Amino acid sequence: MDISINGARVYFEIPVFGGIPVTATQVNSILVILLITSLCIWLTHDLKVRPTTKRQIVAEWLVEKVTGLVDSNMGVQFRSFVPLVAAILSLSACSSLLALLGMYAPTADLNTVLGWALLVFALITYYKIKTNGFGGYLKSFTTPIVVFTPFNILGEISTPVSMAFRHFGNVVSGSVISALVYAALAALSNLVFGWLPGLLGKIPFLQVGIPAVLSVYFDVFSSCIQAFIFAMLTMLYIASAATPEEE
Amino acid sequence: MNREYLELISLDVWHIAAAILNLLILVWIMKKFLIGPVQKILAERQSQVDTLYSNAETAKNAAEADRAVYEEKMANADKEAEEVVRRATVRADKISDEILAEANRKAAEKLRKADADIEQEKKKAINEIKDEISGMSMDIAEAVVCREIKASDHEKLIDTFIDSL
Repeated sequence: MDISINGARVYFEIPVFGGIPVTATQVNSILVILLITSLCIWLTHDLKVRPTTKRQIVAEWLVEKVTGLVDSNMGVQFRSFVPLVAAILSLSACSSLLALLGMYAPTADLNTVLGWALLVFALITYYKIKTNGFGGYLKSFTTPIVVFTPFNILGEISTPVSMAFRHFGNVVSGSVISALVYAALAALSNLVFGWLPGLLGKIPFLQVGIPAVLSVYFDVFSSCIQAFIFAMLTMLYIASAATPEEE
Repeated sequence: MNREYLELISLDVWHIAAAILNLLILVWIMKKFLIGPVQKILAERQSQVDTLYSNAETAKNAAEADRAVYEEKMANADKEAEEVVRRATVRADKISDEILAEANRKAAEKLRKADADIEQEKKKAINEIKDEISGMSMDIAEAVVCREIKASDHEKLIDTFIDSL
């Protein structure tokens, strides 16, 4: 039995800078963005002060939920982060949920989540420097004593790395386990029903139903949880970066 | 399988950049098409609600002011009514007193006049009686002496006679 677990499928290469491969990650990311954009436009067209449609109620509920999340985790002064948090939540959740449709989830590509984590890291560093000054930012690496400097630098770098790998790992592990379960069920099916004559013996009966239960956890639950965790970490890291360091 | 796949873990600067760009684009889209419009409509609703509340407050204050005026007027109306009744009572008392006094005065006048009339009638009657008796006495005397007695001669005699009656 041969089980192969690969990364994103490469569709073609843009022949500049030594060839930039365009993979399922990019294509599906754009699909997700288009989907979210059309959903947003559909939800918010024809808004009224007195809502007449369920559409508007849903739109307001979504915005109020995200705003409430930002308010409670970061504070009202960070209201400008509502679009970022909403974007991370929707992009991450929808990307992971693509796996439900049998499509390649862009979040199963380390590049995607690493990109997001690096953006968050840039924001964290920007707010640390803005709050404490560049000198204060550098000095914060030497706390509590100079000897800790390498560890502090490591800790700083590990923030985006851990964020990226947590998300990536959860999505990939889900698809890996799904692939393994599928293969195992095919083998088991062959063992149990293989004696049936002709084509009937080749139908993997056990693959029906059982993977769906796993899919509920790995695709639906895990996707939403990882999106939520990524958004929460983004908010908490940025909010704590904007808080002055205590002496 | 001749499809080409990336390794499970493969890093590519362009793919990372694309992911960052995608996220930034979605942030802008979120702001432009979801958060912005909804926040605008929420703010509009908030301002309308505020206006409604302040209007209601104004109306309530006006109504309370009206009620205060009304209650004051009602209280004054009671007082005014009492005043009217009191004034009317006083006036009625005065008029009744006047009427009574007038009646008493007229009655007293009539009594006094009646008394005077009676007195006068009495004197008149007495004089008439005197004259009558005087005439009668003269007639009797004439008849007795059979001659005419001169009135002046016997005046004294007659008066003495009457007084002795």
